[in-house]
Amino acid sequence: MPMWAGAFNHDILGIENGCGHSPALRAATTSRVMIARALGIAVTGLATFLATSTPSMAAPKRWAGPQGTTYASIEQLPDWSGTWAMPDRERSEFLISPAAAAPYLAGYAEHAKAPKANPALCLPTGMPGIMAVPLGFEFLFTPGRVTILSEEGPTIRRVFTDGRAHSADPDLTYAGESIGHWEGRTLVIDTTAIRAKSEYFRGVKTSGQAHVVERISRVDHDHMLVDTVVDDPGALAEPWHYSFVYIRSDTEFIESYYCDDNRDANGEPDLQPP
Amino acid sequence: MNRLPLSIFCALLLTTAVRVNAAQVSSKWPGPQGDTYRSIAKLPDWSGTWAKPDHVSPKGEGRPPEFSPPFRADYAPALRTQTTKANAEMCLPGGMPGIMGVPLGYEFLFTPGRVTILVEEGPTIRHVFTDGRAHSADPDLTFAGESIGHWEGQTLVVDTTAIRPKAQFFMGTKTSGQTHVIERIHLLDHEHMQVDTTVEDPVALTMPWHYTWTYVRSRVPFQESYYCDDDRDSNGEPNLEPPAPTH
Repeated sequence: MPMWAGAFNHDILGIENGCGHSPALRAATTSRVMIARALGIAVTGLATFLATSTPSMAAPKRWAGPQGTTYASIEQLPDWSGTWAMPDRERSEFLISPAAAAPYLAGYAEHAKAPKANPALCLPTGMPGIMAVPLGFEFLFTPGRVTILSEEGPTIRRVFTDGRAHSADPDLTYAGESIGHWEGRTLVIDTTAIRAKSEYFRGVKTSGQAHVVERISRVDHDHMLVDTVVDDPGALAEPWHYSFVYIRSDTEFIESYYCDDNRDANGEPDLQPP
Repeated sequence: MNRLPLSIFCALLLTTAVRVNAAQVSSKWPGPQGDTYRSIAKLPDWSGTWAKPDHVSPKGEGRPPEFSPPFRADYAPALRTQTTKANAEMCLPGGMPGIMGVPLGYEFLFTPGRVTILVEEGPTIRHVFTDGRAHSADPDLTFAGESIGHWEGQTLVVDTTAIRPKAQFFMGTKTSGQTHVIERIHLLDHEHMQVDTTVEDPVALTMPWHYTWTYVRSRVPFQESYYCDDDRDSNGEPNLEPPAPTH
């Protein structure tokens, strides 16, 4: 079973698959969903137990399989080259579950009007919202690290895959501190130390206690699945699980600065020669 | 009788010359160009964070630039660091070529066909294509410009055009939109990296400007830095401390 199938399991279990609805604003959930969630957590826990109790754990390395610590090792990892982009929000048919996306779209439309959205202050969205903006992303594999570049901001995420643990006393940043490892073809990223000014989406802030776990894998040549669980005891009533899909883009990665005053009527930067 | 072998010899020589020429055109540059991970492994190790020491002038080591009259007015305030026109004041990155002279961190990421230069200031991302492509016929103008690179042995040569006029030489001295930058970057030793830069700008400069930076390998990890961040301490540095507990 491919790693990304976990997202679909949650759908089968009846768990609302996030995609942007505003759990911070929700006071309660139905008991059915809570039971389903508990079941989901149990399934996830069992899967984790099975994964961590396999004989491969006896090996000196923490994780089995190539981890991209050398260029030779990177050659064995999947090819994520090129530019990736989340489809326009209106084109939600590309999302895993259009039904699950609907509340997210509604939430986005409402909060996009918030006057304190970071882009309005010339600041990046930060984690976890940065991964859901409909602009370009690149994934650069270098020994011991995956660097995720986001056009928005721009934002640079450094995902350390060299086996290090999280810092004992990390600085808080928009990108947070990201530690990753490869489980076969899936990059698993654990991000903490996200500063409170970072957003879920425009105007909706994190608390400074957000903990994000992403499982990223290529579904096929042109699609990449990003399955995300956010735990934020300061802002969310419960962990928030959502998924979205990037598509390979023919548009080259372009630079984008929010405070640039050289923009056309659509808010896009004016890149024409004088 | 002797003429025939000579003409055959000449024809062979010509054919060989044409073949060598064709080979040079197809491979363009000898030596590894980092087009595959295997090839990258043969390139010099530029991993880690690099930084320009604080005491080095933002205009680099070398002869001062010769600005043309309309562009000269911003030079004196920039030298006195009393300018109010620096891009940073407007939450914008310095752009090329000034971006390479700020006393903040740099990283160089080698991936197939590309060297990506990350700059803390801005932050700025420079994509340097080393896949053999030529400059675009009709490029968009950006702060970072369009950079085409190749390896000459251990030296990365970067040719940058399509720099938008809002980009600055340093501290508020603006480029013209016709700037052409050539950088030759190589390691002096394990701890030092030299960046030799030649800037041509027929509108802003009266002659090409040549200068040199030396970066040192830094022990400070690369940090994120946004100019419009209001969460800064009295030194202008971002406040990275965790907030007080909410409960």
